[in-house]
Amino acid sequence: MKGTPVLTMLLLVPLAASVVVLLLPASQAKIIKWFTVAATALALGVSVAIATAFPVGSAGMQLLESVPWVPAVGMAYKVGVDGLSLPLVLLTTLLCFLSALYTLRLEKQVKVFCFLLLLLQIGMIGVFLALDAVLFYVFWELVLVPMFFMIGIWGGENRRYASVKFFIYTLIGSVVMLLGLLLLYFWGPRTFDMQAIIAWGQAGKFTLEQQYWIFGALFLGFAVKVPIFPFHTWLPDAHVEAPTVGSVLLAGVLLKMGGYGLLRVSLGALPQAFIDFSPYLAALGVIGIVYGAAVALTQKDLKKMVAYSSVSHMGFVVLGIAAANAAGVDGAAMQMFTHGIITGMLFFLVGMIYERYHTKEIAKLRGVITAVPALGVIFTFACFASLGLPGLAGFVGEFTSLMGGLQTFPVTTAFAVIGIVLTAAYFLRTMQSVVFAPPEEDSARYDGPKTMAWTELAAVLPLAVIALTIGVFPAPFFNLVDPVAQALAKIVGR
Amino acid sequence: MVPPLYFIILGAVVFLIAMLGFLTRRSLIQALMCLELMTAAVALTFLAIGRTMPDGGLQGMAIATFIIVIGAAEVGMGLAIVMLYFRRHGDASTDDIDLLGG
Amino acid sequence: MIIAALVPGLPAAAAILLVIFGRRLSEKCAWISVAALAGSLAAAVYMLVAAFRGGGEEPFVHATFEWMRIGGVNIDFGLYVDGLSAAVLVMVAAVACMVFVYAIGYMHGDERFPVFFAVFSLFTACMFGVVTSSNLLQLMVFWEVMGVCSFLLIGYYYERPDARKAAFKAFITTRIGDMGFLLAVAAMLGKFGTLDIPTLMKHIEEVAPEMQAFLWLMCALLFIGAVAKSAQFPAYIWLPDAMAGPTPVSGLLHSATMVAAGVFLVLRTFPMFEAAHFLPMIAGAGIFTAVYGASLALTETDIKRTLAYSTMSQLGYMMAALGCGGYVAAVFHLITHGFFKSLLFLSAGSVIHGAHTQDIREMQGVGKTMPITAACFLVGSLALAGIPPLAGFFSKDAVLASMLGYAGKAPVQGSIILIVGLMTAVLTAFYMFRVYFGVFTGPGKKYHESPKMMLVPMIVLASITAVAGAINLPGVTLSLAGLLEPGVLEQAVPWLMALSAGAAGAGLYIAWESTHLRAALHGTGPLPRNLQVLYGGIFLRPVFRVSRFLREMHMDQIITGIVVSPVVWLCELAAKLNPDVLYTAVFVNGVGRIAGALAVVDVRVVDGAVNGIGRAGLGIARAVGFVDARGVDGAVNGVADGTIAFGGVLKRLQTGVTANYALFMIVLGVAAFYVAWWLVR
Repeated sequence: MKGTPVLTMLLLVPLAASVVVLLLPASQAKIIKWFTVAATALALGVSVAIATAFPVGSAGMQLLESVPWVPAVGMAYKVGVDGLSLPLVLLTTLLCFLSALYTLRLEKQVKVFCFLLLLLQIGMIGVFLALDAVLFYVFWELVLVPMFFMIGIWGGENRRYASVKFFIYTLIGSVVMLLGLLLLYFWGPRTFDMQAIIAWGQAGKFTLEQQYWIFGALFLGFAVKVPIFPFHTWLPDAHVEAPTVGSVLLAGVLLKMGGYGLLRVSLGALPQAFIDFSPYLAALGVIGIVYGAAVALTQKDLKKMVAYSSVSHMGFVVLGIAAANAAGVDGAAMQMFTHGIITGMLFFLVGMIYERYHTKEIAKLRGVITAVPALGVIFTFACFASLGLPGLAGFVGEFTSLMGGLQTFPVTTAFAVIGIVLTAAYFLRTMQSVVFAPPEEDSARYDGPKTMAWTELAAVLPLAVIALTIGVFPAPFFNLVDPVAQALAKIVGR
Repeated sequence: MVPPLYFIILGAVVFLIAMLGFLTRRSLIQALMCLELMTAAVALTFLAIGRTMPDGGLQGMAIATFIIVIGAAEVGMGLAIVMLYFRRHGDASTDDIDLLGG
Repeated sequence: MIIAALVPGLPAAAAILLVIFGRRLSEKCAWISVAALAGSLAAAVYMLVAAFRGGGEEPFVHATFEWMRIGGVNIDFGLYVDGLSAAVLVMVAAVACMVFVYAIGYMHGDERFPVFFAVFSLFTACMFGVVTSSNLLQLMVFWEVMGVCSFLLIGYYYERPDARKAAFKAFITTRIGDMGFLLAVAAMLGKFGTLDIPTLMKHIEEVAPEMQAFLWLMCALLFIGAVAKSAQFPAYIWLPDAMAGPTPVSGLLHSATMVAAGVFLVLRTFPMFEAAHFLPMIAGAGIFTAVYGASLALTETDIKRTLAYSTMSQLGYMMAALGCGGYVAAVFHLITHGFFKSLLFLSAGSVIHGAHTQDIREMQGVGKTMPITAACFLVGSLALAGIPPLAGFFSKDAVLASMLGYAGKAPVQGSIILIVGLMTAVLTAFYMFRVYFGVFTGPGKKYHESPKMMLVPMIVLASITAVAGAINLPGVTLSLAGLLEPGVLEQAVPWLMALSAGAAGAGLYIAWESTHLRAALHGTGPLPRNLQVLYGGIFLRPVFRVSRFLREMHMDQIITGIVVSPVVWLCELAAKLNPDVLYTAVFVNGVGRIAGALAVVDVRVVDGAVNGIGRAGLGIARAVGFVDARGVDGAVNGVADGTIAFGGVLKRLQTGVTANYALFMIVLGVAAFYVAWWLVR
C-alpha cells in the first residue's frame, strides 16, 4: 500500500462516480441507484482498507500526499490522515453507503439526488483529509451546495425557508472562517500548508492579539457548523425539512466538521487563545447540553426532537474539546463518531416511521411495536443508545467527555448531568408513546405489511451493530485516537 | 533615463481619469473606451514596475503582452455586444440598461 | 475465573437464545433460562465454598482485561469475586431460580411469554454482573442495563397507562440518582487514575487524610446513586408504583435483587465511606427510611404496595446497619431479606392469582382454600417480623446489635437510632400480621390454590427462610462473619435479642388485637374484652392516624412536584428563548440602523459629489426604507422577515446599472487593498 495514493483514490472514487452518474440517462433510475451504491461501497472499502493498514498508536499524519498547486502563494494539494480524522472518514463513507442503500427507495429525480450525494461525499471526505487551508476551505464550501439542494428540492413543506436559512447561516460562518484562514496565512508562515501553520502556532509565533482575532473568526465558522449554542437555530429547521438521507448526513457528518475544525485548527494552531477561551467554550458546551435537551423535551415533532437532541449531544463534543485534556479530546472524538452512528440511525428510523404514518407528530404516532415489531424494537434500541445507556456507544463518548471536563472545569461540567437526565426523559417519553402505547382514536393509522423492507434493515442494522460493539468494547477506537489526543493535550499543557 | 516612478504615477493618473470616466459616461461606447484606458494604465504600471525587477522587466513585459492580447479580444467582444444592443434598442445609454436589476 | 464468568454469562446466553428461538419454542423456552440459572447457582455455590476455604482473606477471583485506555489511564474490566460477592451471588441465584420457575406458572398463557423471559434473564445476568464486577465503571454499566431491564419489565403490560407511567418514573428516578454515581466515577477516575475496586479502595485509604472534602463529596454522590436504586427516602417514590409490573418481577427486582444493588454498592465501596467519615449520614438516612416506610405500610390497602413499602423500610434498615458500621449485619440482613421478601411477594402473587384482586379489604379467609400459600406467607411474615427462630430474627438482631455498638461510640445518635430501630421492628410485625390476619384468617369465599409450578418455588424459599438464620450463628464453621473480609462480628447481646423478639411479639399482638377489633366492628367476629378494646383504642388510634396522615400527605407527589415543576418550567422557558427571535431583533434592526446611517452619508456626500451615481443612492435609500419597515415588524414576526429583509437589501443592491456595479467594485477594491496593506504591514 505504501506509495499508492490511496487518499486521492478515496476522493476520486465518488468524483468519477458523480461524473458517470451525470452521463447516465435520467430514465435509467435503477441503474443510477445501483451504480451509486456500488461507488459508495467501493469508497467504504477503500476507507476500511486504509483503516486496517493504519499504524495504530502513532500520533502523526499518515499517507501524506502533496502536489504543488499554486506554489507562488504556498497552496498545495495536500492530504493526509491521522487517528483523529480516520474515524470521521470511516463514518462518512459508511453513512454515505447506507444512505445510497436507502436511496434505492427514492423515486423523485433520482439522477440529481445521486449526483448530489456523491458530490457531498467528496466534500465531506475532503474536509477531513485536507491539510492545506485553501483545500480545506474548498471542500468545506463544496459540502454546502449539495446539502442546500437536497433540502431545497426533496425537503418538506417549508423547504425553501429551511434551505435558505441553512445556506445563509453556514455561508456567513464559512466566509468569516475564510477570513480566519487568510489571517493564518498572512500573519503566519505565508503558506497554506496546515502542518506548517500549526507548527508556527505551536512555536508561539502568533502574538496573543493575532491569536484572538484568528480564533474568533475561525470559531464563528466552526460554531455554526457544530452547532454551538447560540448558533444552532438553523439546525432544527434544516433537519425537519431535509429528506431522510439529508438529515442522516447532516447530523451524521456535517456537524462533525465543526468539531474537527476546532480540534485541528483552533486548538492546534492557536493554543494560547484556546486556553483563554476554553472556560467559555466549556460553558457554551454545557449550556448546549442542557438547553438542547430541555427544548427537545417540549417538542411535538419527532424529527425536531431528534434534531434538538443533536444540539444536546454535540454539547458533549464541545465540552470535551474545551477540556482539552487527553480524556476530553478522546471523548469528543468518540462522541462525534457515536453521535454520527446513533443519530444517523435515529433519522433513518424517523424517516421510516414517517413513510408509514405520513406524520411526524409525536401525539399522533402510537403503537409502532404492534404495527411493525422490528421497527419498534430497533427504535427502542436507538433511543436507549442515544440517551447514553452504558453498554451502548453513546455512553462511552459522554462518559469520557464528562471525565475530561471534570478534570479541567469541575463545576461547569457537573451541570451537564441535568442534560443527561432530561435526555433520558424525552427519549423515554417519546419511546413509550410512539412505540408502546396502544393507538387512540385520532392516531395516525398504518395497515401495511408488518415487516421492514430489506433496504430499511440494511440501512439501520449495521449502525445498531456498531453502536453495540463500540459500547461493549471501545478499546480499538481509543487506541486509534488516544495518541493524537495526548499530543493535542500536550499543546495546551493539560 | 526616465525613472520608473514617473511611469507609475502616469499609469495611476490615467487609471483614475479612466475610472471617473467610466462612472460618469452614459454612452456604452465611451464606457468601453474608458475600460480600455484602464487596462492600458494597468499595463503601463506593470511595465514600469517590471523595470525595477532584477530580470530587467521581462515579467512586466510578459504581463503587458498578455493584457494587450486579452484586451484585443475583449474590445472585439465588447464592441460586438454594443452593436447588437444598439441594433435591438436603438440606444446605448448605460442608464437604461438594467435588465439584471433585482 | 471461567466459573466466575459463567455466573453472569449463562443467563446472558439464555437471553440471546430466547431472542432467537423464543418464538419457536413458545412456553418451553423458559426452561432454557431456568437451566442457565441453575448453572449459575451451581457456579456460585462452588465459589462460595472456595471462598470459605480461603477464609475471606483473598479474593477468589480477580481477573481483568484492558477495556479502554485514555490518556495513559487504563480502565480494566474483569471479574472480582470475594466472600461478599460469593454470598450475595448464591442468594441472588437461588432466589432467581425459584422466581423463574414460579414465573413459568404465573405467566402461563401470556402472549409475549418468550420476550418476558428474555428480558428477565438479561436482568438477572446484569445483577450477577453488578455483583461480580471488578471495576466501578463496569459495575455502572451492568447497573444501568439492569435499570433498562427493570424499565421494560415494570412496563411489561404496556397497554396499561399506569404501567407505562410507573416504568417511566422508575427509570427517571433511578437515572437522577445515577447521575451522582456517574459524576463520582468520572471524577474519581480523573483523580485517582483507576476504578479497579480493590486497588481504588486501598488507594483511598492511603490518601484519605489529605483529601477528606473530595472524598466526602464522592461518597455523597455515590450514595445518591445508591439511594435512588435502593428506593430510600426521598427517592422511594418509584417503588410502590413499580408494582404495576407482573408479580414475578416484583418478587425478583423489587425485593431481593435490583433494589439490593444500592446497598451492595455501598457494601462494595465500604472502605471509602469509612475513610471519608460519611457513615453517620447513611445511618440517619437509613433509619429514617426504615421507620417512614414501615409507617406507610401500616395503612396501605394494596397487598403488593404494602410489601413494596416494607422492602423500602428493610433496605433502610440495612443502610442504617451499614451506617452504624455493621458491615456483616447488613450483608446478613441483605441475604435473609432477599429470601423472605421474595417468598412474600411470590405468596402475594399466588393470592392475587387466586383472588383476582390486590386489595386487602376484598380478600378474606384465603387460608382455608389456599393452605399452602397461607403457610408460605406465614413463614415469610414471621421471618420479616423477626420471630425466632426464623432467619429474619437473627439478621434483625445483628442489625440492632450494630446499632447498639454505634450507641457505644456516639451515645445520642446511637441511642436514637437504636430506639427507632426497635420501634420499626414493632411496626414491621404489626403491618405484616395485619395483612396476614386480614387476608388469610377467618371465614371467606372459595379460592383456587395456585398450580404446582408456583407452589414448589414458594415451598423451597420458605424452607430456606426457616433455616437461613443459621449462616451467621456464632461457632458455626460456615459463618458469614468469617467469610467477609472486614470480619467485624457484633457480639450477640442476650437482652437485646430478648428485646427484639419482644418487639416482634408486641407487634404481632397488636395486629391480632386490631384485626379482632375490625372484625368485631364489622360484626363478623366475637367482641373482645373491654380492656382490650380500651387498650386498642388508646394505642392504635394515634399510630394509625400518623400513618394515615403520612399517606395522605402524598409525599411522593410532593417530591415529584418539587423535582418536576422546575424542570417543566425550565424546558418551557428554554423553548421560548429561541435565539432566532433575538437575532431578528438585533440583526434586522442593526442592519436598518447601519443602512440608515449610510443613507445619510449617501445623500449628503456621495450624491452631491458624483451626479452619475445618484440612482445607486436612491436604491440604497429605498432599501433602507424597506428594511426599516421590516425591521420593526421583524423583531416581532420572527426570522422569516429577517431573511426576506436581508434578501431585500441584497436585492436592491442589484440595480442592474453598470455604473453602480463599477462603483461597488472600486469601493470594495480599495477596501481590499487597504486590508491587504494592513495585513502585510
